[in-house]
Amino acid sequence: MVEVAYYDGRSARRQVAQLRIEGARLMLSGEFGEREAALADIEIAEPMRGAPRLLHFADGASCELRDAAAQDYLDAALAGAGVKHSPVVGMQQQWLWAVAALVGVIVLVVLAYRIGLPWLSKEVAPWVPEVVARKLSEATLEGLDAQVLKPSKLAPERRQAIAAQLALLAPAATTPRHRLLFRSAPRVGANAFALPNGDIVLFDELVALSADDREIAAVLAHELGHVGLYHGMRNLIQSAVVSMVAAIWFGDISSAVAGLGALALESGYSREFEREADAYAARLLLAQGQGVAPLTTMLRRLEAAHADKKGPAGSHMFASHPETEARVAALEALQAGRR
Amino acid sequence: MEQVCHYDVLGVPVGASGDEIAAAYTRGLQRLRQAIADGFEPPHDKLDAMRAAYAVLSEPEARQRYDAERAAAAAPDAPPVVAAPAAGDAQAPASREAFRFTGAGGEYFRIWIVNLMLTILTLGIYAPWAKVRREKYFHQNLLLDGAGFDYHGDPKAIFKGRMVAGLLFLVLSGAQKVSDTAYVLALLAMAPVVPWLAVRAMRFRAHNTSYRGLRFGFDGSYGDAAKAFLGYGLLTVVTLGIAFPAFLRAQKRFVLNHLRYGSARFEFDAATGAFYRMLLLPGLLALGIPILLAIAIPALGTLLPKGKDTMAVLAVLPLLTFMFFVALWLFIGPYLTVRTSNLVWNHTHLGGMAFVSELKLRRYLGLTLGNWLLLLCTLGFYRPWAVVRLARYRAEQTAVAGGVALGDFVAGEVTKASAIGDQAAEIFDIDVAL
Repeated sequence: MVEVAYYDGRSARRQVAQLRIEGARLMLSGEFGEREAALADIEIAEPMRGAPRLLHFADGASCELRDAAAQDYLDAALAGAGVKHSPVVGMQQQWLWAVAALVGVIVLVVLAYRIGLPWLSKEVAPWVPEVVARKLSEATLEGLDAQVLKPSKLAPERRQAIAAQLALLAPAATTPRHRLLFRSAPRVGANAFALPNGDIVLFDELVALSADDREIAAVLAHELGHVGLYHGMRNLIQSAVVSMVAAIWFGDISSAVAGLGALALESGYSREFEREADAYAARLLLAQGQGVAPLTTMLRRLEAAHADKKGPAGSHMFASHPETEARVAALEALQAGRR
Repeated sequence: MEQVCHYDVLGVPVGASGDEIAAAYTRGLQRLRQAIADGFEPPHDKLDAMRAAYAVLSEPEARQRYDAERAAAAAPDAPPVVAAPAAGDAQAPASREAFRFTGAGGEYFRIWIVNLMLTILTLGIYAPWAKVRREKYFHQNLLLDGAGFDYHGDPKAIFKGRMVAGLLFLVLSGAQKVSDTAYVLALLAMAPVVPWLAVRAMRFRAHNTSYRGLRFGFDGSYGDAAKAFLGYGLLTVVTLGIAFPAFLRAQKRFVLNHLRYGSARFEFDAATGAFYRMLLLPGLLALGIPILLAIAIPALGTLLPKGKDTMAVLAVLPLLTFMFFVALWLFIGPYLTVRTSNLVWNHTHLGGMAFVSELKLRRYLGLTLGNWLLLLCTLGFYRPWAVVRLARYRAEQTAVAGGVALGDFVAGEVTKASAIGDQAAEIFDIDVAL
């Protein structure tokens, strides 16, 4: 028998009561008289180290066990009566489980990031309505046109020759719908990019950098890979999920921290996309009976062209293109595997 | 604070004679001595209570006064025994009782991480159950006068509420994708829902919080909420933010003036001027300094002689500006928490009892900055310790004052009537910070 505080639920008055548990029944006696209830009808608070334990009766009355002795008595009596808390309580009380849960959380998050989210975006991206991809792409291109891009200075014949070279490499029947656009971007340098709606934008600077049209077409085939593999839409889905999780996790510390964390994590996905697009381009090149050489040559040229502007090689924490040599090696391995 | 009936302390009937009382007192003292000799440690206030009871009941005049007080205090249907102040209470200084928080970081870490893992494993379905465990931990570990608070939210109700809230969110973001007009239309359609949601959320939270067996309650109406949130919100937009302090006060007033504990109402009486004074500093910092910079930087560029050094100075200016805003941002959050908490609680009463909030800005800033640093170093896994530290500090700096016995509060007659309304309230569980 232990002394507890009793509240009748009608006033906040504290009454001293004696609590006794016999079998599966709980008995209280005090100045209010006596009351009895089956343990099954009482809501029993889960144990906590420093907090009083509260027992709630069905009619709103409750009692409070403050000292450790009273709580020990309750736990012993509950164990004797076979009353069990949720299994979660047992896990919460042991450091072993806490450490296991910590490891579990980290493993699950890493798995979700490496496998779950890429799989999800791959499945979902083809289902996104075309109108969404079109609107997004148009908005992006408009924004870029207004700020960094300038009209191309290439002659119409030159444009047609490049388009023909791409058509040779990627016949319309077997490749996704796309449109080739020409722009100039002196500030950005040699580059090309693809938008989710199939627009592939080629910069004059990249044309100038190339030795022949086969090299340009190889780069465009890589961009076509981004289109055909839904990389634009997948990137959007993955970024949205990663930013949301980062915002929830770090949001109350700083939105800047959350943003930087999300950026670092998303760049991991971009690298994977580059590898996939390389493989796509390699398939087209090899199907045409060409080697991967036009693409590897162009990759090396691009790196050399950008090396002057960028910092030292190796600082690739936020790089979206993996180390050029690693990509070249992967491409050559694909070619070797084909032969 | 509250006193058990003197007759009960000595274990004698109300009509007992002087001799019976003296004999009971002697027996009680003997039992206490025996208990101590046997190695038991009786409650320290037991002896004091017996002495106080004997001092009153052995003195005929004092006993008569006490009997009269008892009779007066006893409501017709109240239990036969009613609390009454002890003999010495009249000279005692005005009582003051601080809150206490008994949670510990390590203990909460285990609860947090186990529930986080379960939430991830169940793809979020378990989240409402995790929320209830978290709320229970922070309620039950918050003590006032030795008694804990409790949280009674039903995870299934929270689950349903989140489904509905998620649906609303989907509709809104879907409309945003379709077209701007659809988005604006959806926003307009949902604007009147905001006050309704606020009322529901407050009711859910209040009704599911209890202390000493009594539930809190909230009975703000939709109209009051619309005035506080939409009316003042619109005024803030129209006045370009000048009315924001009044907006903030209207929100706090709406929340506190409709909050009750049992049948007792909270009363909030801070003046609008106090909110303006509180927000003056952050307002000046957030608005004044960017304007100053916007004027100063171009001026600096034209005034200084054109040279290499000047260019270097101008080049670091954006970085300096950025760092300044980060520092400002780190400062304003804690500043607002501390000042708002102190202002609001120091102007809040409950049935003759006053709240006291004495958060210190410097200490609180130190706490939050330390927490942020440790959260960054641990990639966020320090969170349980961080929230426990803040909860402990906030509890310790908050108190209730005024000689009102906490036991005097009674349940409101509305408790039963509102049960149906509260069923509806449980559909929505969206926190509105107090």
